[in-house]
Amino acid sequence: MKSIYKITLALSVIIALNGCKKFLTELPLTQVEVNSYYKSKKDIDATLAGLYASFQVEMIGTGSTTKRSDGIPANLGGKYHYWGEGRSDNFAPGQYTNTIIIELSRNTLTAGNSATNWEGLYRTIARANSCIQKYPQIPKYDPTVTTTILNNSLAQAYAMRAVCYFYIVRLWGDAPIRTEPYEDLAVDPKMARESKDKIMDEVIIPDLIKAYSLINKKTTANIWYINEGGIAAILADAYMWKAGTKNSTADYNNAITWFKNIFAAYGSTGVAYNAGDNGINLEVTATWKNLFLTPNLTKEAIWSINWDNTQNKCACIPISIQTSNNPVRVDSAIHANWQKNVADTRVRKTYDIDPGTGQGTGHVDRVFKYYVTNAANTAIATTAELSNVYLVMYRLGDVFLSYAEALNKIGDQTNALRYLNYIHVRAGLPAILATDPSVSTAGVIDVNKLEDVILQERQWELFAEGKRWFDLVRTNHVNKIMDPIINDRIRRSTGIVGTTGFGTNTDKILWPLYKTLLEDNKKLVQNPSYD
Amino acid sequence: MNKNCTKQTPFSMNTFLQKSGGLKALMLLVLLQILGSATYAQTIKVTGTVTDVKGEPLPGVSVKLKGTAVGTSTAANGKYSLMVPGSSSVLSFTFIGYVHQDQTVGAKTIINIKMAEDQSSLDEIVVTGYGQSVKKRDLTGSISSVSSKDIEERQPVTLFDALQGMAAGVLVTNDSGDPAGQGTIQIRGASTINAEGNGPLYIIDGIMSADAEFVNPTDIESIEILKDASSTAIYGARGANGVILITTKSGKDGKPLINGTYTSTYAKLAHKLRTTTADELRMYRAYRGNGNGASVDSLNPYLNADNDFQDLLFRTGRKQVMNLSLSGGKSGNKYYGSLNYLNNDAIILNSRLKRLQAKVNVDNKLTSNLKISNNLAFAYQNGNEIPVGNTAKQVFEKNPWTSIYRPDGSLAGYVESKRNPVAYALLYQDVDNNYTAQYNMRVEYDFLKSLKFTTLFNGTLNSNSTDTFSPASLTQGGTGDATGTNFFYRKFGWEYQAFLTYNRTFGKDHVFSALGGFSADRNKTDTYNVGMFNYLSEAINTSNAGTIDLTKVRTAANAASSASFFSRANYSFKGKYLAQTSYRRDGSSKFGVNNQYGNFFSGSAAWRFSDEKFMSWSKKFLVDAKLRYSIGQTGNDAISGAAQYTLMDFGEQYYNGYSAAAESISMGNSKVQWESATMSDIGLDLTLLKGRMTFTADYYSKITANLLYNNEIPKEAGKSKSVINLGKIQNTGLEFTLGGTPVSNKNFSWNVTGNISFTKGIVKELANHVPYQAGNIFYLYEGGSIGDMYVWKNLGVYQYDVSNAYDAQGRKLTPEGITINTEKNTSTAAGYSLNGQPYTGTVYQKKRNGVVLQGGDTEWLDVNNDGIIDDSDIVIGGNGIPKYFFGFNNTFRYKRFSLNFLFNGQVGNSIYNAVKNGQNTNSSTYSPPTYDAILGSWQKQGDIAQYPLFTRKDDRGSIKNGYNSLYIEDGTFIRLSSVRLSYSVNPKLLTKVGVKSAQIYLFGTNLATWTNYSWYDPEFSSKTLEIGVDNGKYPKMREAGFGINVNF
Repeated sequence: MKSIYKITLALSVIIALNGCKKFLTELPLTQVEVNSYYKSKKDIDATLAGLYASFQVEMIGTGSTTKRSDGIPANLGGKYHYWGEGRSDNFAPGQYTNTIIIELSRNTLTAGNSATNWEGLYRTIARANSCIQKYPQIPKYDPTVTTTILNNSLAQAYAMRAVCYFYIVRLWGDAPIRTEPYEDLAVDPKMARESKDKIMDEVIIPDLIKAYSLINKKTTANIWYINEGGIAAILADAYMWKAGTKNSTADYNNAITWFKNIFAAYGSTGVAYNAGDNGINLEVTATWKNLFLTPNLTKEAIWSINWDNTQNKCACIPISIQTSNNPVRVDSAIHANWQKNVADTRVRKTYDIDPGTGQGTGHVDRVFKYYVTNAANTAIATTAELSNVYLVMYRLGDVFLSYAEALNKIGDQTNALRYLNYIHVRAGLPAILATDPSVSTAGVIDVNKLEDVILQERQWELFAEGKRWFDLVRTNHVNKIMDPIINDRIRRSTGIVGTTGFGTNTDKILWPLYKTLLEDNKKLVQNPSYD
Repeated sequence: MNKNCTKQTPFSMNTFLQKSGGLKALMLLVLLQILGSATYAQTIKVTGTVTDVKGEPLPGVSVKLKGTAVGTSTAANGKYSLMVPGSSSVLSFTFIGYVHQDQTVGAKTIINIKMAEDQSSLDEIVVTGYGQSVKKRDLTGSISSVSSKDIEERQPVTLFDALQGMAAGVLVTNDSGDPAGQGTIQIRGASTINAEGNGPLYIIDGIMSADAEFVNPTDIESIEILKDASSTAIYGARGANGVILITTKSGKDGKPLINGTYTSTYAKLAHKLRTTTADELRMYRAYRGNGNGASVDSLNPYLNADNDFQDLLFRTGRKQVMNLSLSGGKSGNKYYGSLNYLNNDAIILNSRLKRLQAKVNVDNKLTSNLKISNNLAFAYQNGNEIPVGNTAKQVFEKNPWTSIYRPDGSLAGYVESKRNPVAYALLYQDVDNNYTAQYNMRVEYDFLKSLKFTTLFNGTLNSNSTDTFSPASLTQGGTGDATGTNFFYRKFGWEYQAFLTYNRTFGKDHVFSALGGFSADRNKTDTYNVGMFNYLSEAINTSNAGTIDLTKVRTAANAASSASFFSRANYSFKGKYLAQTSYRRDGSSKFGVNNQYGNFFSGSAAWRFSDEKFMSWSKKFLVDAKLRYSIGQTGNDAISGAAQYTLMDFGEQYYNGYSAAAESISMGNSKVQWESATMSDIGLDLTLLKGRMTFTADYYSKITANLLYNNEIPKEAGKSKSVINLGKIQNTGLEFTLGGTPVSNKNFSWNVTGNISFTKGIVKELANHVPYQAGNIFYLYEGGSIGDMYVWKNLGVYQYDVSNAYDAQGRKLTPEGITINTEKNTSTAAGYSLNGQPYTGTVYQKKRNGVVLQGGDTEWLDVNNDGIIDDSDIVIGGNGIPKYFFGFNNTFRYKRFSLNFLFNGQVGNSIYNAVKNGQNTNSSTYSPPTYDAILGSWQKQGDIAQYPLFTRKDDRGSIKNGYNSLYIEDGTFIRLSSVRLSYSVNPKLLTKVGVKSAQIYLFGTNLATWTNYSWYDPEFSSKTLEIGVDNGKYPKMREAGFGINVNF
């Protein structure tokens, strides 16, 4: 018996004295420390997937239809459409609406609107920063990571960072600049906003140029990732934004340079996008919708966001099924007006024009563009949860119209019209002649009229592709387009006539900073008119 | 008792020397002094029976030869027999709850004793943990005890039932409607803002446990609730929210005692609510006037049905409990075994629970100084959990005219886009199969009479599974896909302890006891989840019959360990001056390498001033009076063990064929430490009127510093949160307990105890001085109180368009000379007045969402008077924490009848009625609002209404779902929570049939509730800091039942 006590006692002492440090070390069983990661090719694959997934979640949604245990709310759809079109004349509150779109559609945005949160973009930026910092160490551990693989991977991280900052600059203007991972709590994480010009000139454009220099060129594009054409397209877009908002001819020329770089890049079929300067690589009229259903099989696609419902679950975009009801509907004006142009083959492929069965569930205001529909084009073939939605970031059709816009601005109206017509004709419409009164005055092409027609073509061609609001801001068309629309929306909901529409306060073109961002970072200052 | 042994040694020695003498005796004497045990030459055999005053035998009474360890205890029939050395021997009879008696043997060989129940509780033994206990009179800290006797006076099914209303400072919130519901216990206020760390630590037979769900209340011998830091500091890092010590029953020496109990209970929905009728819904649809609202045809038979879905969803519940226990023992080898079976078919259709609990405690005394105890507990639970949101809540969302059946007689999943609560209750499955097995081995060895070594090892395995299944018929239109999950949870934990206890009296007046030891424990949890859809057969819910949903297949694991040293010392001088101190050093794997250890100290002292000479005048009425003071530190470690590391997350996202890896948005903090609570307590214990009245008062102040805090990081860093230590909360409180026996005689006695607790929690400091959002309406800010609800203050509904008129100071103007345009439903005013005086100044109007508010729009308090109702206008609309809560317990005994009833209640807390608010957002095409919102809504100029105009409520922000003070209600309630009438059958009648005693009883729970709260019930458990939001709970039931208890 005594020996039992001795052993027990001895054991106690041994455990107590020697075992404690080791005994009290419990490494997490589902995660690893950051410092022991980033060592092989598969780590690159996984973190690149993390980088794109972060962006994907921000744009399309979390996929979840119920509140997650970690507190992330049920999917209200991604911000792609809220950001790109929520404040435009494309969308309005639907029957099952939410505060996000009510505020966006009436220019009554508040800091409590969850679409004004840039958190997901900065999360994506942080992931890009980690990739940029950690990837260069990987070849040391894994010789299969060649310079080409490394450079291609780095190029995507740089480009993704630029895309996120580009959204931030366009939506909120000034913003904090972070180009390094935040790694130590002892360092104050609060950063003040820096000017949007600085972000554009010192982050976005250099990042993209760096990305372009790193990316493997003249190879078949994988359009689910940012490729050679994609980088050039973002750069062209960035210069267009600079050019439009600052009315700078030099930047239109910069943009044109990059448009040409897009044309030289290879698409997903391994041919240059526009080598012959003839538009033959556009998807043809009959299969136009493949750009949204199977973009990877088209020659036109440049960069689309992937979605796989078996893994990503519900692509609950708010403009369509969401989970069962869409909070956002196609604005009644465009819904009614566009379909009058029966020759335009895009209408029926874009949204539900069915007058409805009158049974209460015929949602006549849903966007169908991203979905396989029934033969009559009156209903989506499957449920939201089983649908893949491939949101378009850039495609050649978009690029052609931007190119046309740039050419028009630098005085090359002939070619501008030519590029406009590639798209216009593909839609099933007759080519617009230079003498057409819509684009000319007394037979001479009118720069402003042509700009408006290009803008209109962009609205139709790129409906639900997240472009319209940026188009309106870039071309300074916000008041011109939105005043009557918002007037009408206010009249219909409140009965008050004669409001000022969007209003004369141009501060309101920028979005407010989401309120909790200001609470978490005391160095941030709210945008004017949103205090 | 040790005190007695040592004190009386000279007497024993003398006796001994007379008998044998010599060197041998001296040697033996030395041994006796060391081991404290002795043997005697026995000469006289004394026998007898010990009974209570009513003459009923008392088993288990300790009969000892005074001044020695020699003794026995009475058998089940109250009989004992003992050899004593001579006629001068004194027999000492002691039994907890009865007055101690000494009897000199003299010439008698048969000594029958009648023991009186002790009116005072001063000699009750209070367990203080780690094998130590003290008499209640010698406590220096604040501990509330609940004994098996208290528990038996009620019909508790869970520990929460057993504790509610019984102890001051202990707020038990019971979710008793839900058969699987437990509730929450909060000791002395919410002291942390950490989501998980507010519950007490349970110590079950010496073993740390995060919960006590598997313990059957009838197996409990005693519960001690350690409230102040001097009592809890010995549990160190996990003791900050109080400790509940549970000691389970063990056998007593004597013949086997078999106890059988059966109870059967019937339950009804306690509070039926008035739902919206078809007529009212028609009225609402007409008011609303768009789309589907046009159906106002009262002749259409479809629209004429008027269901109250409560009648269809709720039923009479039935609960049966069967319990069998067997106990006994012989010369220190004791056993106790019990089996408890519960079958509960609760008040919602298909809501059911079966529970089987088994407990075996075996103590073996191998030698006079070696004891080994083996304890085994097993629990199995099987039940179907009802999705409250899809059943009880749907009662209000579903239109009264809709049917719950399809024309073919099958249950419809949805009708008019709303879920069918009956179909969900009957067809949706959420079946739990939970097993708990706990084994505990304890070895106690007495090195010396005063020095004892204890070591114990415990292993606990929890194995739970949850299978959910939602058939295709529950999907919209019944055409969707069946879905299901299989979830498995396994947790294994072990704990090892070794400690020495020392107890000795020096001289006459100095009593000293001490404890020192070591413990280590580790817990590991594994979870597995498989989600499925597209079932080949709906009869099968395993993965072979369904397609596996890859997004719902997960396995996960985590582990944590800790190691501790602990010590405690007590000193008492003449029982008049008492002192205690404790120290614990805790190491935990949850904290970074440099912060693994924390030190926890406590000290306490008590002064029995009633023993002082200057108090002698009061002896007539004041039996005992004691002042206590204690101060100490405890900790809280309820965080994830991963908080110290910056980690890569795997597999949470997916892109184009690749599973993603990404840095977690939680930033690791290797410096994170315990949350530490420092509590001081001043207490007064009085025993008056020959022990017939006791009074305890405590004032405490608890400051929790280094709050574990999931702190927000500026989102621009790409991180979201990090666990840090910052901030301070102070809880202060007053607790009073008054107990008494106003009447006590042979036939009739009345025993009453009451307790009341006042508590207040204030936030002293927060990280970065930024208010902390604890969930929607709950903000903590410096100087604010825990539980404050931030809302827009609803001032009613503007009566006229022109009612929206204020002066520059924001005072409301009264419109005069109002002209109403009934056609356009607008109004104009000729002028305004202010306090009866004509007002000619500028008229200011309030705007919301950029629009000037009109008649029919909700009027909100414009806090900053800027004319715009926005985020800056939220105010504190209420507080979810009661100002005070109380329990009031009465027991009457008349001859063989006993009546016990317990009231409990809480006063001054607010409840946010989120169900009603949600109902009245009118956001759904189909759902009706509550009936009063229909009848009380604004329709035309001049209406004095509580609810806004439906058609315009969204544009004007008239609802503010979740943030509207209109839905804050008073949660004050008083409840007759339990009544029990029992009758003990005369044992003389029973002995003939071989039954020793029998008791039959009738009881009821939740028989009456007095409250102004409008929804089901004001009592429900909440998440830590989001206290008092009623977002649809399992409704409470009212129960009545009968039972029988038989002893063989």
